Amino acid sequence: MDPAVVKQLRFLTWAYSLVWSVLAVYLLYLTYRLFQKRGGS
Amino acid sequence: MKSHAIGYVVAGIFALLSLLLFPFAFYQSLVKAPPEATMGHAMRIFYIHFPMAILTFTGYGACALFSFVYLWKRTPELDVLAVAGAEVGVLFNTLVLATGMIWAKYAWGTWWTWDPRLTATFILWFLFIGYHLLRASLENPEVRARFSAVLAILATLDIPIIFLSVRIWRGIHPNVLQGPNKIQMEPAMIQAWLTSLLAFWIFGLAILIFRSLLGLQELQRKPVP
Repeated sequence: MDPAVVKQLRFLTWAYSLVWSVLAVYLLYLTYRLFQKRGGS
Repeated sequence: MKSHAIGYVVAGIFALLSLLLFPFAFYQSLVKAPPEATMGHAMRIFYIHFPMAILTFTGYGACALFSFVYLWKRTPELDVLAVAGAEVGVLFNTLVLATGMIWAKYAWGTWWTWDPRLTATFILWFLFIGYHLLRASLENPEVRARFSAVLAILATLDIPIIFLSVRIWRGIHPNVLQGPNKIQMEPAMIQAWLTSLLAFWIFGLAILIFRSLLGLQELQRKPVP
């Protein structure tokens, strides 16, 4: 594959991975808070 | 609690709707849309970068709206809803800056440049980090809510500046709709842009509702003295 295309795809993968990783961690944090409240009441 | 249950169902419906839309949006933005003439496949970062920007404004807009109504009505529930908007806003503001930096590294060869739009977006992020720090530093709930509401309204005034920055100062940030740096998009690229925007926006709304309900539940358990 053309090295320029490989470079473009690498940057694209970084961006998509970062967005979905951060969103997944935030959703896990919210879910943790939800169940923590239910367990604590 | 029953009203919260309805809220969670609404958030669930939004999340489900977005999950149905995401495969279509990914197909459009990663497969069907052609690579851009000069940016190639790196242009596809735009299909997630733009929705992050719109969700930033949605979160901060909700924060400013609830803050404004709080200053009028002075009910703690409105303060809780404003905080939810600010938190979700910071989340997406961080992501819009991060995806923009990745794009900049490829396109401009640097992670950051003090372009007017980038600077204004960074200032917005900084102001809302300040919002959360201010809240953490004040113990009196009424004073905390009042001060942070004023800060949120003032900070949101930066949003029109971000929109107009490309036109006023003529930076290097590309513009989607108009201006000297306008991106030329084919119909398939416009389709990818809009479907991705719709999927992420509905998903972001689900997160915003979820976070708001958590805050309201917390308030019920720990009423403001």
